[in-house]
Amino acid sequence: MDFHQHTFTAMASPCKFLLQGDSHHIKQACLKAQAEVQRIEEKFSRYRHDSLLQTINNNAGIKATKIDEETAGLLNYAQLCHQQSDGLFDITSGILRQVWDFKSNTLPTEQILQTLLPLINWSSVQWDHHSIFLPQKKMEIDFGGFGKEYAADRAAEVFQSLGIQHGLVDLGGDIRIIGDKTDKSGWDIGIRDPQRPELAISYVTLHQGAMATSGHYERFMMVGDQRYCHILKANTGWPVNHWASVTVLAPQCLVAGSLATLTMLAEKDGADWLQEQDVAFLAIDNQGAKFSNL
Amino acid sequence: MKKLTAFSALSAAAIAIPCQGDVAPTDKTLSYRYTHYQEADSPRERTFTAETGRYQIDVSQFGYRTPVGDSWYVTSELQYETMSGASPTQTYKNADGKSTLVMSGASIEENRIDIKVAPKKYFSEGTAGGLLAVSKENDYQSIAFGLDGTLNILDKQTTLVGSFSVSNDELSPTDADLSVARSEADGRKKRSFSLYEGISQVIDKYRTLQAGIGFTQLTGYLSDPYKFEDRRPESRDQITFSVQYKQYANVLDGAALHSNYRYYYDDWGIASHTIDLKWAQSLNLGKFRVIASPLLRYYSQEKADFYSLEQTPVAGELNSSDYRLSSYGAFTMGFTSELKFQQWALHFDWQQYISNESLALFGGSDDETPGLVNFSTVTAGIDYKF
Repeated sequence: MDFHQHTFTAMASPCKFLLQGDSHHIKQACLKAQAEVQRIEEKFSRYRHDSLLQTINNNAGIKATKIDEETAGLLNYAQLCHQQSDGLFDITSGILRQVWDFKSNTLPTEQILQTLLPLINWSSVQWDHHSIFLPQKKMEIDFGGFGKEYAADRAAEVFQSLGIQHGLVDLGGDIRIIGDKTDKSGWDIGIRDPQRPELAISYVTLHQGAMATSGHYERFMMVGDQRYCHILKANTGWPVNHWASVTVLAPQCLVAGSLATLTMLAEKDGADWLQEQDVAFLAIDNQGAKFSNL
Repeated sequence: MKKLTAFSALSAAAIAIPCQGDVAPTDKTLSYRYTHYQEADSPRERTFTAETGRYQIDVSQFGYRTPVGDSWYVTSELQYETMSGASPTQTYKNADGKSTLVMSGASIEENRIDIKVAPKKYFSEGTAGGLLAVSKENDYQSIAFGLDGTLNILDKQTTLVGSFSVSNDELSPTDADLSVARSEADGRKKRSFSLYEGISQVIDKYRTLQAGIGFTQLTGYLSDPYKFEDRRPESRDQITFSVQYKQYANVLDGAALHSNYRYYYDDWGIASHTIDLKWAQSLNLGKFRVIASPLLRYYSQEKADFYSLEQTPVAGELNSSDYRLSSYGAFTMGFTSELKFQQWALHFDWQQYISNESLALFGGSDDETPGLVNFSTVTAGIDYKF
């Protein structure tokens, strides 16, 4: 059966749906799934002043903001990531973006980082299933740490609900399988080589579930011969510096992505932690050494 | 006991994130439908005069549906009908015990225009909608207003459905000075008030069940001013209980069996049972997608308390010989079909309705009801999505 490909850009990433089946029906389904990705992007965008997320952030230090069940579910998820990472993963750490400009090739000063660190404090956020209040002005939250992976899961669910059985969702390299190929041969997915991200270092064949990668090559700058990547530790405000990339396979893309990010954040302790999780993974450290159970 | 891993804890939390819920459609759709409704002639051996032709109606319907903002969807419809033909004004039992049908003379053509606007808001837990409808013909006008909503609960496996509507109609019979009934009806109102509460339950991937209860109260002038000796109560309370069951099946490119049962009764003494079966079959034919749905319906009704075939009933007492208030049964058979290609969809539907007093399941009588009509409808239509 023919493959049908649908591409678009969302969440600042190239997005792709690859499907098999009746082409007209698929086209309609692609538009619906794309709309779902865009809905999530708009609702949780940092850049749209009318997004729910911006409203929450604009109300920081002023008043609580009412939230819906989906947002509460994501906050609960973020809280769990915070606990599991001993505070290294913190959705209030997005404020560090103000001083980490990866196009500038200049490091922020320790002094300016120290002024921002008090604003990074998920534990101080008051929230429940109906509302959230950020207790200090200028505090902010963002779902950049898992929004794309969450959208991949939701898009796949839209396809499944419309009866699409064979295909995958790829949002900037975060993959969620909708269902196996018609001939049940599985989808061959490349894992990027962190040294040369345009090439694959390995392939995995997925019949179901999801795969997500967190890599130091995604956004970074070189200062001297030292690489500074976009994954920042909430306790120090400095980038992680142990793994070049971590790829995790899990039933849900959201979970695969978080396990990968949390491993990056745990740096060298991440190796043991990841092994405890009973998931398939491929981690490559800064020296290029592979650590994997694939 | 083994320690809970981050993986299992995160997986559990990820599964617990409720999805957005009802998502507003994103397509705009323009649609057109043409329907021809044709009643079969009355049996000449039962009609008082040679006039046997009955109603035919031609309906043109224009629809436009569009999203408004992120979460609203508005459906609008304009319908234009042309009716012509005659209808029974009375049925009575003659001296030989045979039912005789008195037909109105061939009526002039009448037109009706309907406008309907229904906005719907989609939110994470369900939907909320409204309805405004106006209808006008030369001897009748109607305005209706409604609200409806759905609420998803229990992980969206269960949906509560509710609706409420009111209508206010005004009669202005043609040639009001022609009969006392017509002049009395002139300017009279008919009001309705309806409530529906239902619950819909997803049993599993393949099965859903919905059950509901409805109540309608009609008040005002409920008689038919064009019929002879037609005197009905000025109020009517109607109750319905309904159950719908949908079963999806992996037949060809997907199919679903829709089955419905409805029990109805009112304080005029009418009780009825309706059973519907419809098989919706999808077929992918190259670039085309076809959905063909054969359907079958059986309806059985027990008569109203004041239904009678007396030619000259006691003056001032409730009375009607309207065949729609008699005991009868009816079968409908037909199909709906849809052919989709890219942004286009073509529709073709056909139904044949036959009704007869002998088809009644309960409360049948030996009296014939020659007013009972057989009719067919044919609909052709086209949709364009953009």
